[in-house]
Amino acid sequence: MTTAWQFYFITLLTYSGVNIIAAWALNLQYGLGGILNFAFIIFQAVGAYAAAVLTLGPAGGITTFQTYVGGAHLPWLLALVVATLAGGVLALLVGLVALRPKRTDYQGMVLLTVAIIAAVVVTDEKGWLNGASGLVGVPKPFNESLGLGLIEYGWFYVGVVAVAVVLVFIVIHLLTSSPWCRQVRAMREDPVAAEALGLNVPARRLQVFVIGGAIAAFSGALLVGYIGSWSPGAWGPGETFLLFVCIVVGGLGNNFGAAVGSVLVLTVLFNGLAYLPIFSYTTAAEALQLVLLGLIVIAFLWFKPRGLFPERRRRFAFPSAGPDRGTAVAVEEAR
Amino acid sequence: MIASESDPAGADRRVQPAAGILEVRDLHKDFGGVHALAGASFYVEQGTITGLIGPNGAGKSTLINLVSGFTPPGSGQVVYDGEDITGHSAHQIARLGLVRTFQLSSEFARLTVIENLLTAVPDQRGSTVLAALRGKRYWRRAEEESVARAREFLGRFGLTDVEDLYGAELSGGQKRLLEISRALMGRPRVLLLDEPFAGVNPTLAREVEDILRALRDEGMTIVLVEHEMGAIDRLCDTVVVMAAGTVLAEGSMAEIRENQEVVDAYLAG
Repeated sequence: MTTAWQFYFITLLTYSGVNIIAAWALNLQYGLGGILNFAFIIFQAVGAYAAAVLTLGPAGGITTFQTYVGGAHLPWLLALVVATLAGGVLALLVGLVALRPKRTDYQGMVLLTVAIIAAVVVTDEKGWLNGASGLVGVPKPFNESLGLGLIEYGWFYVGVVAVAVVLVFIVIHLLTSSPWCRQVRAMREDPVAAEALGLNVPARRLQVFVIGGAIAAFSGALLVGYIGSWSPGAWGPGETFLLFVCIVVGGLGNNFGAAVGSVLVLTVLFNGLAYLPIFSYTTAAEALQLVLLGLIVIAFLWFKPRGLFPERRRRFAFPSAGPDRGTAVAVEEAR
Repeated sequence: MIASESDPAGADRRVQPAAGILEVRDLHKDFGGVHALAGASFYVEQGTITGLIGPNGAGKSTLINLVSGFTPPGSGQVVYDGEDITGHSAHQIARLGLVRTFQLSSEFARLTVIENLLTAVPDQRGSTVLAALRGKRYWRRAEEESVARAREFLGRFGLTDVEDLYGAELSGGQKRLLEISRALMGRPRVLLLDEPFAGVNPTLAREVEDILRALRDEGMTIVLVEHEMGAIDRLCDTVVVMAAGTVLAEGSMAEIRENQEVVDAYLAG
């Protein structure tokens, strides 16, 4: 494989891993929790910014060309943890306000507004995160100590992302197979009835929102470690909708579906369209990507609203005779 | 207990001994200019079935919403088991053992029937984030116990065969049964049923009546809003007649029938 092809696959795999993690987080919030988080991308962004400034070092010195706040030289793993927590804290603050309306569609509108405001503020306040130009020169994790070549390092980072995907999957799996998630799904179905059964719906919504926000930030921190730069162009409010397409196509409420959906939509389709021959003007392919995604969403909502892999029906394969026979709980079974 | 100066409501919290397990005292609630409740008062004895009747707009639904914490009160008190629960949030009231159902079916459509029931188990092990992260080993035993208990209710309500169906896949009557059995999973002491027989065929309705009577005989207190007078007659120990936001009359069905005011306002109309 030529160097160029290797580099291409390294990039593709890294992005795929990051997208899978992000899709799981959004699936937890929307697919299972019913929260229309139209501000999802700002939580990925805060993770990326946090990881960037915490590893770039203090502003000034060799980086005088960019201005930002909170610069530090933290070890990457620590920066990753802090970035994840930053996503959780931001989600808590945003959630306390945006989740106040009882109706989820109103919450969605508030969140969309939050995303737009965040993009404008970060772009215009140049002193905070270097405005529209964004941050560049973010150190590559472990690069100095490893001393690998560009391609070798790339494959190493693919490995890092793979480990991260497995870790996030374990957390997501524990959460989504638990009685906690059953109550979260009940809240999605009918928050009023859930409240009537004694479930504290606002508190539970906030939990889902904060966990999803932290995982989103984690994915952002991973991404910025690879690409080395981060600017408002990377997290326009529209980016959130790409992830919504992923989980709608894959299957709302199904972790496997969310992963497949993100690979199909973002890795295969979105990327594959770039190979279209230039037939009219140079940005035609780019425009077509969005047109096609729109059509896909409409087609799925019309013909296959539950996606390729619908939420699994949980059965309780259980001893009906004799109290001590069998222990299996909630054998998941596809419809 | 001394009510602090900074908590003027504290004085009101020391309630007089309540009559019965549930008492509403002089409840008022306005929606804009409409007086939905204009001083409703009555009480419910433990282990009885109380019927709440009255013409449309009498304030029955508002009363249920207010008692169960879904509508903030205007003024007045709701006393449950000796405690003033006025203004408590809905989930707090449910956890205290006062559980309601809804006029419109409110099954969790994309949860299976048994999952619907399991959702209502109070303090189910594994239902917090930290407990969930400890894994199946931590909560499996408790889950098995809850499943067994849920299956008892499913058997009692004739829902055993539909255990694995989604709530949305049930018939109208089955949804009603699901709602009542789900409410019972929370171990309530008082059940507030908002039109439990709406959309239920007569045969099934009689079965539900039998179940409600059996629950009462086990000590459950039941308050139900209902328009079907036959069911009220057969089931209720006490009937509370509401009109224009107040209680018009209160007593056994036989006494109510004798009451000319009630006959004029409701039964004849």
